[in-house]
Amino acid sequence: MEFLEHRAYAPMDDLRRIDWAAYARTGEPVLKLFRAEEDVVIRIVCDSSASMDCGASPKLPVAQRLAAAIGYLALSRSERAQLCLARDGLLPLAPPSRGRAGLAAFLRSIEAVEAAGKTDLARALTEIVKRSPRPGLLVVLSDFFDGGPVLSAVTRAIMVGHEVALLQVVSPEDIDPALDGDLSLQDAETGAIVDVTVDSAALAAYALRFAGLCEELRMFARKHHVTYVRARTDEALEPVVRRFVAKTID
Amino acid sequence: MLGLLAPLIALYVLKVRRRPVRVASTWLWASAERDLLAKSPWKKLLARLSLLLQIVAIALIAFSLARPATTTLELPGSRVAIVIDVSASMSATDAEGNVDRLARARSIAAELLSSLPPRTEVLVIEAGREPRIASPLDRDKQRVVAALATLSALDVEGDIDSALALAVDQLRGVDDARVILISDGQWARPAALQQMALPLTIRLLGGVIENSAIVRSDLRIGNGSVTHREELQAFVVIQHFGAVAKDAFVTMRREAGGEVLDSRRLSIEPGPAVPVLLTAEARAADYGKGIVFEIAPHDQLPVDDIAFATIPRGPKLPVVLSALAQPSAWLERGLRADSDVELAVVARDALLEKTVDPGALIVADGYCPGADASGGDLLIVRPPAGRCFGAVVGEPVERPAITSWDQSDPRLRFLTLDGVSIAKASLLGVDENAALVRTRDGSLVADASTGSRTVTIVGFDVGESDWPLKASFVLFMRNITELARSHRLSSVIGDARTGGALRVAVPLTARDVTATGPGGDVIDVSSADGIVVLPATNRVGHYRVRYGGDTPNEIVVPVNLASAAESNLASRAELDVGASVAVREEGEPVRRPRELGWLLALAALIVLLVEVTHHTRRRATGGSLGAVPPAPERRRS
Repeated sequence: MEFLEHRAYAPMDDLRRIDWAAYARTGEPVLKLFRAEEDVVIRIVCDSSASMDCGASPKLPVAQRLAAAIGYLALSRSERAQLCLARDGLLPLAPPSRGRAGLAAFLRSIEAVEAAGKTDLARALTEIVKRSPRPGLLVVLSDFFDGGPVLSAVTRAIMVGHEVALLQVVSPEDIDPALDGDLSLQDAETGAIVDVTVDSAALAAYALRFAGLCEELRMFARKHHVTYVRARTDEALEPVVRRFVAKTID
Repeated sequence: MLGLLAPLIALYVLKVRRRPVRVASTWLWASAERDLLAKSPWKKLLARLSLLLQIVAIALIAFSLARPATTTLELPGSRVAIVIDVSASMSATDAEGNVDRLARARSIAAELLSSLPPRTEVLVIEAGREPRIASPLDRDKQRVVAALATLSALDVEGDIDSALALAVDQLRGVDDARVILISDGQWARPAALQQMALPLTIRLLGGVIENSAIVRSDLRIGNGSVTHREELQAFVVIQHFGAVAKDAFVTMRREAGGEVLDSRRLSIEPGPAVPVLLTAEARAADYGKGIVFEIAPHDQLPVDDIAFATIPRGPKLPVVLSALAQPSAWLERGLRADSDVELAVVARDALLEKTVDPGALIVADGYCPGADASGGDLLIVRPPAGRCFGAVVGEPVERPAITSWDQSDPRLRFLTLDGVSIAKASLLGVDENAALVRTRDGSLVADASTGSRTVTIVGFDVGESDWPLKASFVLFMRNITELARSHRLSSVIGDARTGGALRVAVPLTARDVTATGPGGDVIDVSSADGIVVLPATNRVGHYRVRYGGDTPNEIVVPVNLASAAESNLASRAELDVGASVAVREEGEPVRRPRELGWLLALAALIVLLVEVTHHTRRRATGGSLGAVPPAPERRRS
């Protein structure tokens, strides 16, 4: 509890909250108001599907470092941070860590994350919203390579009072695939096969779709005033964190 | 080559077994694929473009290796030499036409000319016994056609090789030159076609026809076996080239007047040559006159159905023995030992006034006649000191000893001078090569021949030696008369066949020499040192050489074809041609193959370049994005 302000006494006020010292000095009954401090829970939703650990520069380690950095920021302010692992649903939640004392446990939980399985980010977010007694900051760390209604789920979270930050982790291969020729592309999560003759036209079409995904996230962020940061795996951590703190929209 | 398509397709099938690649998500790739298909329905076909291009390239290369070609009327080359065979066989008339082969050759040449590009220079070479440039390199086709019109078949053996060599020499240094030979393929001499330095096209014309020919003739004066009198004896050798026997008449007639002297009817079998003997009465007035042998009826090659001869002088050699006073009895006895000698003994002064046979042997005893002495060969015995026909006659010496003699000389053939003793002799100063009988100090017998007569000098009086008592003297005299007899029988020096220059011996005193050919046409001649040269004898027949001077005369020289190679029209030898020689029969269009292989190879190269470009072209990486890229499709919740 911390002092907030004084207010003039009004009938039906609790007499116990009168500041008698102030009444003695001023002769006017005033009430002493306090604000009860409430913990903000920062829920860091980390995509731990198989797509996050695929290719020459896997995205999961970058997501882990970002989660650790954000968690550290929260815990250092005596806030609570909770790591939520999303695959084709929500993995069992660990209890939120609190304060600096909880940092070690929080980091251990991050370190233990392994990428596997499919992605259903929308389902995971829905479950998080359901399980959250109070809204808080919802940080989504993912490559967003999910054809499900992710943004609808994010919208619902915003509607119930969550503050949302979208951190898209991408690798250079995601941006400019080093592929050529007749290929059978196998989805790391679903195992689905897509036969592609990778030539200049195919690469251009892919780049267009990738840009469309990024643009979709950016437009959503602008519309709902949420943070959207795109982090490359070959990019330093600090600028990404700075952009997150500044609540920028990349 | 097309078999390579199978492994190519197999490789392509193996190649399109797509390489599996694990990616984070195929979600965006699936959307991109749908975009591509929507944008370009031909994309699936384009995916096979590489295979199609490779198939096309291999097919083109395969066809180019097969050397496909079209034919074109146009002849290549900036310079073309047309060599036309004008040998005797080209005067034959084939059954299919009324014109001789040379006329058809001219037509073919004219057709070739019309197919040449305007800027092509054309050279026409006449391939006779000696090659001749009928038309120099010329772009004016009209002039070339006019030159072609002057060509006619000659009565000669052809020399194709020399003509081709001349063509190659004339076109030396021109890269795209070529030679076209028009011939019937009846070549007397083989041509080295394998070694042609320029591309050669042979246009063969004429077919196989049967032909009879006089391949040799010989006329002499002999004693008749029945009459025991001098008679003309002609040996005519006839050969039939064909498959079926032929009945024919062989006649011998005088050239002047056409009087038939003898005739035989015979059936000429194909195969080896057959000699036919024709005889007639010999008359002294006929000596030197022309005789014609002929096969009748004529066939399709008339030039070899006729042969020419000249009645030789009689077998008796006129010999004139002259001396300042009394000739040597030993010489007279030595000459009379030969029964075929008509000896006349005259004084030197009388000899100057006497008409002497041009072929007579003159024996001068005790003096040296002048260089313009009449008659033929000269035997000078015991000349006085001084110069005599180039030899320096020295003063008499006593008992010269013979050390050697020239056994290779026909005058000293079959004799030996061992043991011959000479009391007194004048040594002869001559070149070493001219010495026939030598002593240690000089020559006793020497050769002082000129270009037109044989001159023999004996430097001693045979009566002052024991030589007449030996057989070698009789042999020496016989050798002298035989040599004179052989010179007298023929005035012709060398071969008297068509095609080459003809050399005729005339007296040194001959002046105003003229010559005419068989048709009476005047021939320019050159004469020197008793030799008259007729530069070319391209026609069979009698050539006449007339001269004036002290003993004006006319020499009739028979010139014949006598070539079995030219007469044999019944078969044609296979031509041994090289890679650069093309042979075309008559009737085939005047076309040449235009190879398309290089075009197909070029097309294959272009296709391969397109394929390589298609395969390696620089990939565009999103440079053509729109203002707002489309978001990927999402599943509905």
